Amino acid sequence: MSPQLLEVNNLKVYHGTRTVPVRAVDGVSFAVKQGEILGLAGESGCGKSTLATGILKIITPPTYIAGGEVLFRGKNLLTMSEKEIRSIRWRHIALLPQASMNALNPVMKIHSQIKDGMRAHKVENPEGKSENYIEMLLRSVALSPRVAKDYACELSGGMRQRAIIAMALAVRPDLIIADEPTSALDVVVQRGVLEMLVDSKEKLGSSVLLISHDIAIISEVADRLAIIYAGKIIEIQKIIDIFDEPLHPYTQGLIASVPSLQKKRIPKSIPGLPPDLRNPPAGCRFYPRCQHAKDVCRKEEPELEEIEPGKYVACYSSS
Amino acid sequence: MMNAEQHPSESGTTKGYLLRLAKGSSVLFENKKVLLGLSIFLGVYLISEIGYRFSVHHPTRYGDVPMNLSPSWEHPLGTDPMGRDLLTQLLYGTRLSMHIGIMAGVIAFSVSVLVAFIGGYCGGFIDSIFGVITEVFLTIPSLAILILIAAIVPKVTIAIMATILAIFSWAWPAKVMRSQVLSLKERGFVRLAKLSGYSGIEIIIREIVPNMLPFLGAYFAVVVNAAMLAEAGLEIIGLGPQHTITLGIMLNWAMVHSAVTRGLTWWWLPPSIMLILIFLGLFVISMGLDEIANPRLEMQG
Amino acid sequence: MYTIKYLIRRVLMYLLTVATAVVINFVVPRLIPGNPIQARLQELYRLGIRLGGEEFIQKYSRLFSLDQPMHIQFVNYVASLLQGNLGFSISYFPATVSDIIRRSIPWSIGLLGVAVVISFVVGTVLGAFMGWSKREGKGSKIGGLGFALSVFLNNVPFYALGMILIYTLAYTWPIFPYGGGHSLLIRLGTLEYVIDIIMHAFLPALAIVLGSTGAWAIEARGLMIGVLGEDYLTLAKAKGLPSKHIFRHYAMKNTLLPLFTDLALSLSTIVSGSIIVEIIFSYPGIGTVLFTAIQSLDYPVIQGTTLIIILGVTTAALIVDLIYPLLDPRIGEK
Repeated sequence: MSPQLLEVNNLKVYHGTRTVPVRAVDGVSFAVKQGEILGLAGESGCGKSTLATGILKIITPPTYIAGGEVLFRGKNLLTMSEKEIRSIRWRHIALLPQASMNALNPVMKIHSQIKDGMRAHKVENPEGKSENYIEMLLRSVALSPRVAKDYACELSGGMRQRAIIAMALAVRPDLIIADEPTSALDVVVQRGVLEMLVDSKEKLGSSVLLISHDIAIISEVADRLAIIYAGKIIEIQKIIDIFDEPLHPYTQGLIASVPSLQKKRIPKSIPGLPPDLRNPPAGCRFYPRCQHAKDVCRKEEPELEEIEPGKYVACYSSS
Repeated sequence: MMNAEQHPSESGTTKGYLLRLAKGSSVLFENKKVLLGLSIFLGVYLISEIGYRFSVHHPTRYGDVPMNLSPSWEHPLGTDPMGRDLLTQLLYGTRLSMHIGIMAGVIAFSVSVLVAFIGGYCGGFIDSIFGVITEVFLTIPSLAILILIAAIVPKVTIAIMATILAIFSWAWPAKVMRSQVLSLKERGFVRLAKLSGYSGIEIIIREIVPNMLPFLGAYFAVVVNAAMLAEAGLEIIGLGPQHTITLGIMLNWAMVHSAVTRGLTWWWLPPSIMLILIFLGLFVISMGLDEIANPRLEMQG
Repeated sequence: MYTIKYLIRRVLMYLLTVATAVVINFVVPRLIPGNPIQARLQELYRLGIRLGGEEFIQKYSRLFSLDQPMHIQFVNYVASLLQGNLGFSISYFPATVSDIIRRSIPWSIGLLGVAVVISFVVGTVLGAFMGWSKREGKGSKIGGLGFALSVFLNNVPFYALGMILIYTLAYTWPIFPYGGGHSLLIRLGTLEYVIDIIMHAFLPALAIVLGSTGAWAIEARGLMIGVLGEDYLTLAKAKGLPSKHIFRHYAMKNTLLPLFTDLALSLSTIVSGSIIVEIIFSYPGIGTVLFTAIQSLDYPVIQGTTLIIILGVTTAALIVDLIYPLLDPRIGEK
């Protein structure tokens, strides 16, 4: 059995259009270990959410899976039947979708929405009565137990986000995929959400795949960080290593653009734009914006290689 | 979201504006549903408009032809008990019905537009008054008042008919268009136009209208649809323009003479079919225009 | 839950609408030079129909204060309205307008009530299924067919449907009667009577149902398709909930609730259509009363019935508007 909790191999998820498909996720490979928080960072619109929904096959046409495999504890999710994968969703892998403002059913009370997830996966209440369990869950996400009887419209954005986290924690999943859990929240609530994710790792033993465009956020809680650019993973390292020694020029640019309280330097942005994913270039996708570009970079696409144990990069300049 | 076409400075000239309108309108005709609906509607109209000129007989004169004939080569739809050729009636009737409907639609639509745009753009007290009036007209079941008016007015001419019909068709589009104007008012390009010094009316015409073209088309189709439905409804119970023939009046004659229960299908079925085609055509047009306005609908078929 | 503000606003709107209807009802007949009632009476008189001569005219003059200035007439009119007095019918004198209406209202309410409920329930459920079938993309062929059928039926006016139904199910295959509310010579209160009524009401009701179901189906389908794209449905899928559960609690509830408001709005259209249906079937409801009154120029009845129809529709709409916020947790402040 694979030691990895989740192993994504060469996953391709495309959006069909009237002409050529948009290759939102174009051969992505990474793994999430048991009990770790893996951050996934990239610019907006580079395929992060598509990846998240693709892993659990929650995509709808015109989006489709064009190849690859997603191994959860060794079993490929993409070849499972709908019934099988439904049992994996939430109970084992809980996706917290992006934009949680409307993610709660407007016409169901909060406690019903917590309970129906539990009921669907036959999760028992360890505390006995479900009311107590729900109370405990809500408290653990810093919500008053009175929220249980509320409807979504009575909660603020931050409260809704936390309610969804409570719903996920209720089934004690093995892996939580948090897609931009902190955007549209104020800083104080952001901190709270991040702490809850760390809590779930430490107290429940869950792993977390934390997706965000904000490296600073990720760096607060993640153990490792993967960088996605133009539909491909271009670097994976431990958090400390990646800030110390970013390998890929894009990562270097990203790190340089994070405002720092310690070092007095002006954040730099990376000139240029990501490529059009309908017609990706033949060579390295970062080529037009790269300062270290070589001739080979234009012709052939670099593969993601493990240049040292635990350090992955897809670049000719670093290997 | 601003794009070059909406930027006020690029549309400085009247020519530029008209070009923008033309381009916007031409997009409307690429939609399949719009084309289908339009062909049905125009098809019916052209058949009647052209056909009636070829008819030999008179639509309303009593004793024009022998009475109560079944369909034959000479009288493809037979004749009615008053001695009039039914095919002639159908052609004249369709043409007149559509004229009245479109006339009523134009009047109602103009009122809708005025109320929606002036109210929506100016806001404040005027808007509140307009809003209340719209709401009242919207709630009152129109047919009841229409019946009242039509029954009381002694001599119903075509113009009066169109006006009466318009009275109760204008409310719904006015309400919907107003909320659209309200939301467009806050958009970037409108604010920019205000800052650039354009007056209110200019902004409405230059900026707001082009962005509402598919909606306007859809609402016009709906208004004409409603007007024609009301028209046929009034006429079938005997409250139409007198001394002429329309589809509804044909159905009224048919009903009064128990055409259905006497099996005189050629009398009541053709006008019904014409009406159905007209309503279908208009509805499909508005469906298609709806799709253009909300592109997501198109992908869902 | 709604606020007092919403309640007040809605009731005020209702009163305003009713007031406008009353005013229109009063003003329109008086816009014509001369008095149509009197003119009509004179015409009948000329035709040799005596309705009681002086006594009748006096009664009317007193009732409508015809010789008094407009505002006094209006005050008297409103006063008599509030007492439930709608005047006398010219054709059926000494029957009052209220009598005639009272006799026909139960028929209309029975017909409309059943037809509206059936078409709403059937239409929305079918429409919801049609929309739901699109959740994996293009949807089923049956769904597409159902949609086309709904579009078509929506555009066939009720009266055309009525005529076609009479032709097929009453004339060609004499299953149902041509019209009327019930057969003559049937004993009231028996089972036979009930069946007879149902047989007579079946075709008119079917005409209304066929004509309005399409509209509901189209709306429900559209709403369902909108719901399918919402974030809470994505989360519901991510939670691995069974399809049936998602359909019932996440999709259907969010689709059906907004449709109730449309019920109030579309009542006036449905009522308008059903008036004509009643006329075609000579069904003894308020529509036929109106029609007969128009044909015999019985102005008081025409006025009375239109007023009652307006009152009925606006009141029903008000009731729906007041009930709806109790059902939908999203509505509160406005």
